[in-house]
Amino acid sequence: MTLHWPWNKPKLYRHGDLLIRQVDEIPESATQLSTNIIAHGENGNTHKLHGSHQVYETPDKQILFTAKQDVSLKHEEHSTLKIKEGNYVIIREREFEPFKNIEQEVID
Amino acid sequence: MFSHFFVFPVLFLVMTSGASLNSAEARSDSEPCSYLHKSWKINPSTGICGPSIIHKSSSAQNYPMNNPTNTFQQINCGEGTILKGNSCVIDFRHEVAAQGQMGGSSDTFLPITDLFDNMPDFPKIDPVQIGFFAAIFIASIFIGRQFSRKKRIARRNRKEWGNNRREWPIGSPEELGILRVTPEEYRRMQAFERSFATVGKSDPEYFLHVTSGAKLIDASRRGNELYSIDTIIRGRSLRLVKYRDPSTGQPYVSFVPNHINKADHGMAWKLRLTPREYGRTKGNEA
Repeated sequence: MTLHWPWNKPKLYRHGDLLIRQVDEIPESATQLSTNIIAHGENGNTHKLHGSHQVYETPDKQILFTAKQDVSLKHEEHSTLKIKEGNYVIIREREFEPFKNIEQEVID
Repeated sequence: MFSHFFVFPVLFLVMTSGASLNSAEARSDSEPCSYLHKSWKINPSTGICGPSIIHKSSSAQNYPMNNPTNTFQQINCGEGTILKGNSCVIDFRHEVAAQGQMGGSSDTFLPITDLFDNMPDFPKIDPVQIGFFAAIFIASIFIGRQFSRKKRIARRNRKEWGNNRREWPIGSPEELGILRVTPEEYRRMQAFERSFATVGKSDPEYFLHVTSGAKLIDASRRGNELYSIDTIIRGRSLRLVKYRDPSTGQPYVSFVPNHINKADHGMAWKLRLTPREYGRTKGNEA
């Protein structure tokens, strides 16, 4: 794990039900995907990248992408989000199910 | 909570304790009726303890009698008493005289008597009797608990639902925390889930403030609010965080674990962040 200086902490973005966290590098096990969609919604809406980028997927279905320059993330129901150059991992929001005592991912 | 069955043992205790007092006051034939005047006897005709009247044919022995009718009747007042008129009084003369001889003065002292030396003993308490009362007391508590509200509800539920389980496990047995609820709580849970799936999704504000009866616990500067619902399952608090979409401003509600007490901590949990990290997302939301 890389140590970050306080002024150089990994960037965090939130786009709807997605959290986009900056990572140091893309894992070697990840494979390249020829798409600009990083997440699908329940109603057929998608989170799409615009700009120079590369999307990856790990064997455990984790989605990552590399922004080779500043890119834009768009969604039909959300405002456009500007993302700085770097490597990022996509994390989905979660919610708690109190009667089953479990947590599950939110898909909007 | 004690039931009305507890009244019977208490009444029994009160009645038996009165009987024990009566028996404690009874005296044997060998005991005097008055410890102050041991020579006094109970008058068989009146039943009152008093000086015994002795009829004699001879003249008086101890004290001369002034009887104008010249009947041979003497009142034996007993030890330490003298006859004055027609009544017996305590004779303090010899004690006062004795004190005057000892102290060498002619001052008059208050008479010293042996009243307290002859105090009767308190009635002895029988250990068997104490054990008997203690057993009644414990039994009454046990009976009262058997008819407590909780057990009555459990019995009624068993009768209504036709099984011997007082609580129903929700979730698979492999899960670490199995939620156990009563049938009534289970019905409330089902109604709540239906309400959350319909009203909670379409109109979160109405669901929070009207339908669910949620109470506000915390509100943050970022507009997040944490609510608690305690009326579904007894002893369990359900936590809901209300947040707004940064782009559209539309409100959403989402359950968070019960240990969360701050609205922003609830949002951090949702996004799999630490509270400090969640603070850093401000300005990078859409």
